[in-house]
Amino acid sequence: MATRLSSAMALVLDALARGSRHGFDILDATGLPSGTVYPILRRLEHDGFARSRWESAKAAQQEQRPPRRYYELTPDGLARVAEARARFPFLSAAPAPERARTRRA
Amino acid sequence: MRAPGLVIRVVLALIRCVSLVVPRRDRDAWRREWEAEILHEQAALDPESPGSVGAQVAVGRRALGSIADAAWLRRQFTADSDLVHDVRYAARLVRRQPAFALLAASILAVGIGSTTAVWTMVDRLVLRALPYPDAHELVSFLQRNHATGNMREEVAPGNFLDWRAQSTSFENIAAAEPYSVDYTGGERPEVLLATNVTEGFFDLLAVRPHLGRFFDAADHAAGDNRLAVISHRFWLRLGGDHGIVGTALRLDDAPFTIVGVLPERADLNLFDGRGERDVWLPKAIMDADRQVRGPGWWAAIGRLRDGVSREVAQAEMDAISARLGQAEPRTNARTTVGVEPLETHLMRTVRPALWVMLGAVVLVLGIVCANVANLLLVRATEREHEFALRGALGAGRLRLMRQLLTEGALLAAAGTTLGVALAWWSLRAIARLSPVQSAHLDNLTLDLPMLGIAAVVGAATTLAFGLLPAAQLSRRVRLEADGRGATANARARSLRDALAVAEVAVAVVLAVVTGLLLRSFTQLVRVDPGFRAERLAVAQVFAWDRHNTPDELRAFVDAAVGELGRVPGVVEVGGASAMPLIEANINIESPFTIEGRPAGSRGETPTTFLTVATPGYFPVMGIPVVAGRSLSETDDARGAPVAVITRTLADKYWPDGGAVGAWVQFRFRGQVQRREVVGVVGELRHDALELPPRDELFVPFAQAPFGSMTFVMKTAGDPSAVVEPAKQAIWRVDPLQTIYDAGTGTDLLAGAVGPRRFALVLTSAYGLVALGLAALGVYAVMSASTRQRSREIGVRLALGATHSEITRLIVRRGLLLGLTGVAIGLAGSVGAALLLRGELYAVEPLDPLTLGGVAALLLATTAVACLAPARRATRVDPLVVLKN
Repeated sequence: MATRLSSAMALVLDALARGSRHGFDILDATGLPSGTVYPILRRLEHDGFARSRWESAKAAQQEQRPPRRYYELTPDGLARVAEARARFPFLSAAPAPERARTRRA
Repeated sequence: MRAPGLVIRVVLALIRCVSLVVPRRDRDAWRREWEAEILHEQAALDPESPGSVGAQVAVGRRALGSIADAAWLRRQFTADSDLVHDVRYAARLVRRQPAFALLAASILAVGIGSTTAVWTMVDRLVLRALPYPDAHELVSFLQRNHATGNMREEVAPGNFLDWRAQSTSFENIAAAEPYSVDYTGGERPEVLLATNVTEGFFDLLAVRPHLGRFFDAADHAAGDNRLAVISHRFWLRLGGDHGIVGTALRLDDAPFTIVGVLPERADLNLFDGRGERDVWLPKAIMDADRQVRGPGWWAAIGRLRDGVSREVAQAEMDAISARLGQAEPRTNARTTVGVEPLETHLMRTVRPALWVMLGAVVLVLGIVCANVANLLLVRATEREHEFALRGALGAGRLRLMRQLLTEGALLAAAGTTLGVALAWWSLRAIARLSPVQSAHLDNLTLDLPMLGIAAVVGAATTLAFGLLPAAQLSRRVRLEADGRGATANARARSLRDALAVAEVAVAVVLAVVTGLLLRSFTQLVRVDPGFRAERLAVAQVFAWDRHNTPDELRAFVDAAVGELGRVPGVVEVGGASAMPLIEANINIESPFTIEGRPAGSRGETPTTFLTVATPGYFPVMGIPVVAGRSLSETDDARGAPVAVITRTLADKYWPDGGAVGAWVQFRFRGQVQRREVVGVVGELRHDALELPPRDELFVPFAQAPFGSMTFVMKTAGDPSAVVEPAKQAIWRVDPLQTIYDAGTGTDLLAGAVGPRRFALVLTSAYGLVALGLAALGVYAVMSASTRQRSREIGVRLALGATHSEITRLIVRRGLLLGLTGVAIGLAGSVGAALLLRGELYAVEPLDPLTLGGVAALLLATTAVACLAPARRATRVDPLVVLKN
């Protein structure tokens, strides 16, 4: 049984749909605290709405840091985004890149 | 890559710590994910001010979310496990039927708690070795007086000295003499219990002094050796000064030098009754001691030589006592000596009660297990359908068993937790009730091995019987085609019946034991001690040390009687040299002759106890005058020599009357006295309520002043309010006079029945628990069987059976179980009652009233336990039942 769709979960789904890929990226995109976002990511992955993979080691090595974990929506997840946007109209109103820019200069 | 700043390093350490919360299979990936994010974040920080603390703190704040993340993963992981599912399912069951869980856990708690508490007591008081090295070699000696039947007589000095001189089985034999000293170094003069010990006493026990030394041979030589060893407790009371050795202690108005301090808890109370002994003095053997035989007052202990058994030592002592019997035929012809383990001697007053209790507790544990088993069996029947269904739906047997095991374990855990609390509480209650005050009873802690055994027994029962539904499942798993599901299992039913019968039987045994103890107790408290204890206050003094001459004694006692009479609330005052049931009595026993009769006409000289009393003693004590008159004020020093005797004495030697007016002769304080018997009074029980009243002859105090005096006061109101003012009144007469004992008459009576009350209260408690559990067992069985027979009952009702017929049907079956249980139980209680014989007073072990009463009680309980199921049966709706 899929987890109940909360507004926070809707924000995370929306961020993933707009291209945010890793944890802190989603934090930036949603403005939610990490203690909220990570459990939502785990739940989405557990419920089959998202899946994760590791960033390629080569790219990370070039920047001299360890590889990050990337999340992306599954087909079920994409359907869930549509549901989220229908239920929480404010999601489509706020362009995600604007938000992302608030933090990343 | 830049080296991480301090805050980042702290954050990475935090992540590593938190990662421990994450389930192992995800842990590594989880840690790498967080580390990568943080290091990436750090790399993206402003290159101009990479170490800016503010920026690092912002990263750190984000990292705090890892805690919630890890916790979520852990919760998810745990929630997915079967165990959690099982626990949740079990918890749901508890919520749905809280009564069952509460009942089963409480029953387990009673079993575990009571077994542990009582075992702890038995262990500490009976089994735990004395705090002396090789304590198993220590023995105590007793005189067995076959003439009087007293098999536990204390030791006479003369006998002790001969035993010591002649025996070879022992490394050493030593003796202790009860003594008391007046201590005047404190705020108020007080009496300290002391012990005079013979040479080698402490060496024999093999204790080492806490401070200083014990006595050596020179200390025991005759002479003026004013030396003392004090107990650890008294040393603490004196301030616990490590330099106390060599200082003086004022005892009996003279300075004694303290030579040593006993180690903590190593003091030995060899004597009956209250109190721990604070002062130990060296005993010098006098010639006079060698002459004293017959009933004694010393306690003798010995240590067996290596390789010598107690049996061998006993045989040697038998030979010695036979020789002494020939050498001293007058006193020792019928006296032998018993050698028993020292522990047995020390614990003799509580030991029987504790064994009775341990027996009771084992029975209760048995009943508890039977009861829990029964409850679980009944429940298994109720859940047959559920398990058949789950089996049919594909649940494996192992899976179902695990579910049942979880439920059982939860129940057992709850029962054990409650049981520990109960044990802890009851241990304190038992220790408070104990008639023996022993250092062993301080700081009692639960006996962990026993707690473990009881918990394991309880848990094993719970688990074994909890698994039954799964076992039944293996026999008939599949859901039956007609949809009616599982039906009654005859084997389970006969097992349930057997358990209920066993419970009733065990309850009968416990109830019989309780009943017999109760009957003994009521018989005992009904015994007339010979005096009226209500509104009676007493204060005992030993006045001879401070008032040596007859005139001084007379002056002191007269003044004290006068002063006590002025204490508010006191109506009348008297006094006597020997008070019934008080702890330290001075017993004067003397042969006597009746003038005009040939001496020793019956082959032996009659003897009697002598008591010196003031005229007020008889009215204050409520002792009736049977013939003639009581002592009066006119029987003073100048009056004619008179005496009053008790009815038992009069009946024995003047069976046809005529005691009043007779003249008797006896020895008092070494002198022959000749007195006229002027009255006969009621008899008194001095030593114990269980023992017959003694022959007693009263002499007026004014004509024979005596230093041992117990003042008795009749009070208008509560006697306990008078005790303290009475002490003050005595101190007004002599500020340095110590008061040995003071209290009320009811205290004396309570002390006389204390050990019995102890055993009785405990067994009654267990008896009641057993009765309740048995009722519960029958109820559970009858409930289950009624439910299973509801179809049959429905058919009967449909065919016209009346409600009373149905009720009879159910109750008859319950009573059949009850009767079987009672019959088995009565057979078992014969054995228990015979074992208990020594503890009974004025009741036969096979007392028909007790046995009959218990049988009736159990049957009535069984019948009552059947009523609710019977009433439920009559409410069965035939239509509904038949339709199903």
